[in-house]
Amino acid sequence: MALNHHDQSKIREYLLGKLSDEEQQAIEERLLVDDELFQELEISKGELIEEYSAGELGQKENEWFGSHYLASDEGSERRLFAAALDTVGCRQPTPEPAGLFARIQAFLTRRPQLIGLATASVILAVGIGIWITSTTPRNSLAVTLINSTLKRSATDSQYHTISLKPDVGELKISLTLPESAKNAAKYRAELDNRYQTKSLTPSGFDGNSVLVIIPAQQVPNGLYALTLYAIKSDGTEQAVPGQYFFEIERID
Amino acid sequence: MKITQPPDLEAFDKLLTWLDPDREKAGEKYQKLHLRLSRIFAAKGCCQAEDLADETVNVVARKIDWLIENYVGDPALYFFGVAKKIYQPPRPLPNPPPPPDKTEIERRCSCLDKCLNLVTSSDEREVLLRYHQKEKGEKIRERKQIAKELGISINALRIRIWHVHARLRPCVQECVQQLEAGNALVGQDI
Repeated sequence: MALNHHDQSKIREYLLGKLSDEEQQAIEERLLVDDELFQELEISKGELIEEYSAGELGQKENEWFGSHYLASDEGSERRLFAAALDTVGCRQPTPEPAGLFARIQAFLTRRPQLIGLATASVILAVGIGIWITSTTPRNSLAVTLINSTLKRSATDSQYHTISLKPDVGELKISLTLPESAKNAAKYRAELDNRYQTKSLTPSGFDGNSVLVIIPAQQVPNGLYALTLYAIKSDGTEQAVPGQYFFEIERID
Repeated sequence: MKITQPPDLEAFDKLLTWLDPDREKAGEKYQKLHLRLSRIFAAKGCCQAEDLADETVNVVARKIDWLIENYVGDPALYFFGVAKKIYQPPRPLPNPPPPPDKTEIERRCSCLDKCLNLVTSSDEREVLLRYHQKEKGEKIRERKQIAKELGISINALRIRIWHVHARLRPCVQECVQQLEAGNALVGQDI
């Protein structure tokens, strides 16, 4: 039986506890015998987990889904799987859409007499590439981020978008200090990619800001938050209120 | 949960024949029913969804002689009727679970990396990773773009991705179990 849009929304409503008892029973009966509807149930579970994790569900939906499907063993395992997929997806570079290398390879396979010439060209190109790379300075991109507690209004975008060109080797991020955190002996920063945190030692600081340098290769496209810790002269440290949010977006 | 004695071999055999006279088809139907019952129990928030599906089968199997004689209709619906009686709404409702543990996620990530190479083709990997790469609104745009590039509808793309997930999940689960068994061995005193 082919599914329609109505079935898709019914399944979603079923998982979010929005159906009457009769509707729920009708859906469950169909789930036992209708392969496509069952497949839709499985797909919708995955999509709702994504929405739940991203905080995109309404409060009631969130509570229902959290206390029903996600409370089951299967739900909790699926949630871990979704989180792993998200993490792996975010740390992979975006694959090139066109298989240029594959096309060149296919072209040469059909014309073996060109392989020698192609090999010589590749060696020459690699040599030139190495020479250019070794003589070109590593580009830095300087960015100033404002602490989330210093934002002017709630309507300000939380994440500052940092567009990275391919030639940028490192990010120099200047973190503006709130008044209460200006007199520390030194600072420490933590970079959070929503799954892992990494401690960073700032390259320097003055009365108003702290400078951290992050190699571009350590920040794949995605959302990040930096947390600053003010370290007093006796060694105790205290988190600076608020965070510095940014999003990395690579451009050609 | 009330636990009914599992059926003996003879009763189970009759149950399979009741599902389908062809042995192979009967096995498939049984597995499908069990899986779906357990998924329905899970959707309703039952922690031990598989145990409840087992219990449903046990109850049906106990009545198999009567069913063969008297029941008319799709056996799946009889299973459903029994499952409805077995189901008890969780009281009180459990609290929403805490965010997943980072170590657990990392463990699954390393398994996922392995499984991606084991059970998916490079084209599937490329599509899957793009499908899960972006955030919120951007994610929707990216998925529309992938569907356009593949010349399929968004719904067909969802289904294609689900099929890849369905191959990846058991692989990841098995890999995690192996990692955990390995860790347990390391933790043992020799």
